[in-house]
Amino acid sequence: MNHSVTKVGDDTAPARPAHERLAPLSAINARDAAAQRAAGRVTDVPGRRGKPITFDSAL
Amino acid sequence: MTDSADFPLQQLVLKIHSRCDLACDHCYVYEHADQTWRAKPVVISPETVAAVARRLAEYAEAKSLDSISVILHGGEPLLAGPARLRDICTELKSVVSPVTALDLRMHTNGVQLRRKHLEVCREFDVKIGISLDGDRAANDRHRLDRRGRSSYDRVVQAVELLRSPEYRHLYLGLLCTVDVANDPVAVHDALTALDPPRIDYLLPHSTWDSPPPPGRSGSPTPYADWLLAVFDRWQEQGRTVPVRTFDSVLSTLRGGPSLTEAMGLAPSDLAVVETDGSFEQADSLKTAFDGAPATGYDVLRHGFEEFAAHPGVRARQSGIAGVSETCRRCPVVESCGGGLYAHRFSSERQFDNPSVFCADLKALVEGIADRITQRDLAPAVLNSDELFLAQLQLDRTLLARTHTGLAGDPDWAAAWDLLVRLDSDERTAPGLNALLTHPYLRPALHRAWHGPADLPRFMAMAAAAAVHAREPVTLGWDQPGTELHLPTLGTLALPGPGRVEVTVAGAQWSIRQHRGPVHVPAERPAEWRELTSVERGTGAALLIDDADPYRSCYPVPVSDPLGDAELAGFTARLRAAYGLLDEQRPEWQKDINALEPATVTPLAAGSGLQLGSHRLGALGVAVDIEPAAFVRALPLLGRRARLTALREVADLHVPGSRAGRLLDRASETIAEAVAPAGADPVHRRRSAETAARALDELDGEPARSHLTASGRALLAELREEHRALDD
Repeated sequence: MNHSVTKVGDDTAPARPAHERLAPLSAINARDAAAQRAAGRVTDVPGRRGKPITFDSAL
Repeated sequence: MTDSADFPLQQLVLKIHSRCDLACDHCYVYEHADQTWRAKPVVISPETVAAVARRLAEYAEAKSLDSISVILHGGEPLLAGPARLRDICTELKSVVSPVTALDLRMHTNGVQLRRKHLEVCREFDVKIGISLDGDRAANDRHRLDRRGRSSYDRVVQAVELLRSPEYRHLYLGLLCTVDVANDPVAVHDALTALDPPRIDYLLPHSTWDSPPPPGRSGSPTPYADWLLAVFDRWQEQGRTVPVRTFDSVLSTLRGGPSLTEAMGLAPSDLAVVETDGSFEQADSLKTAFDGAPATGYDVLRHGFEEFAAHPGVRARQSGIAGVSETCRRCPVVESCGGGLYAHRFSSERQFDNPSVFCADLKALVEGIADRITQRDLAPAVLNSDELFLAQLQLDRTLLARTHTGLAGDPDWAAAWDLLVRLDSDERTAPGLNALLTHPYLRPALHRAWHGPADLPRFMAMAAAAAVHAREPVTLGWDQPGTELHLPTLGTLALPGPGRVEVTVAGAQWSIRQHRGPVHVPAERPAEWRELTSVERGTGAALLIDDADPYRSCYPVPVSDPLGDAELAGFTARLRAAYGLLDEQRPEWQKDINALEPATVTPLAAGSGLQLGSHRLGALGVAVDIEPAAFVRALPLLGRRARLTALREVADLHVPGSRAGRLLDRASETIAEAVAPAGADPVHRRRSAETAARALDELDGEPARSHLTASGRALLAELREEHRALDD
């Protein structure tokens, strides 16, 4: 049997448009703690590993 | 045992001078178990350098290495003097550079650093790292010269010289050895005040035979406490200076690679050559016992390949198989990796131990994981509209950070003004947000977080935003290569790199290259290739993106831009696939796990359906996909895409915890259990049973305490799905 989980929110009142719920681009402080934490979920992984940095006693 | 061919050596620590002008009492070279420095030549001879260079070039060629790093080290490498330094760099460059890219570095105490050295370093692009243990009080606790005098002022003077505009590009950063008697915040503030590109904190070399100083706090984890105090300060400062150990732990907690040999399971890929040409294993092994790093090989008689096959080298390339049983069973092993190899030594068991810093390393990893976990309930887990909004917030945050990095560039200033203008107007803001959710912008945003931003890419994005908004503007920038791709719009072939201008005047827009013709895409010039959209039958349009240069983010090759006939064939397949999906699963779009990409990228034949490292909203589809295969694969990919997207905007569990793997297992096996009719019923039943076991484990400890409120909400959702399997 095909079972699907119904999306929640389909029957709720229409949400405010996205642009009304977002901080203006010009007002975003990407270095504050909240932004660092939010972005860290994506950016803490350096992606494709470039030069390996494995020697302990040098940078 | 892994084959040494699997992990080619990529770094060489070359000892060019075996003595030092400081007498740091924590130095692993002179003050620890190994005393072989006494018999080593004071300075490396030209003959030995020539042999090193020759052997290195041979190895790099045999392994087809793209690059190799040589770290000039010691003792104190500056004692070799600028003339010898130049000779060494000349020899290495002339022999190695023709074969592979040579990355030259040096690590120094900085005491002797003068312009005469920096001129040589500038000539050969030698990057320089300096050891400094914090402020004057902290540094002088250990780092004195032979007459007991402070080294602080001399080292800071060296750092200031290195920071000067003409040499700044050579400044690698600062290395600090931890002493828990020092104030961690004062140490970190003192180091960051010197504006280093990066910092790292090293645990003092110790073994089970010679344990580290315990400090006075009475804490069982004084080193973790110290480092976590620095971590808190680092976070408070906005992580403005990368700290290698922290970045490594954060990376591994999120499933990425480790970044230092001191932590994590990444295979060691370095060789050490002493002033007499002898090959040695990891330098830090000098702390274990006299002669510990020795291999019996030297560059006059042996090559790097032979060194790489040495059992001691391969022991540090074995990943989880190379750590102790205690470590293998430890929940933080992926981040800790058993710590630095040398720190595991005991006379009784050699290296078959956890690290002497085991308790500290565990507390450090768990402490960082706890600090970065957001435990409250994220609306995104309950509602796909909220997930969309959270993803958009993330894109905008990344863009704001990119702007910070590009600030000052006049071309970008015009682009940012445009974006802010579009964002502030309720007529154009939705269109801008739609563009920002283009899945192939995320890889560029991610890359910009860690390094220089791809300015042409972001200029093209801004131009595309103006086109969609019909906002009058002219944007100009220097475009490399022979193509200009405007995300979501298309690609213009260029005769070569150069200045381009995109002018938007309402519904009309044009592209002009410096002194070249004006191309109006609406007139369909031969140089312009527009992206194609296909209607999905529900009115939603699917963008076929076979041209975005950032689309190569899938685990399989993407196809080249499709010709007209190929494109027609591909769109026909997609229409058929969606038609079959609508027929077999009419309610599929109501599923919270439904994957409704806005962008599809053709992949090489035989690749099936794939997800890549783009953001939510893209799907890779093989050019030869059969509709039935599409319908079969899409539900599972939808779950994976949603879980990935959720993890990007919310914490479902403490990073690195087993709860994460259990959630993945439960989700995937439930997907297998609800597979369409025709799937193997035995396999579906076993999948349901596997899911049940994962869910039960998640409901118990310790997994449950590692779930956040968002994770518990997802667990409840999975429980409900699993329960319905019995209906």
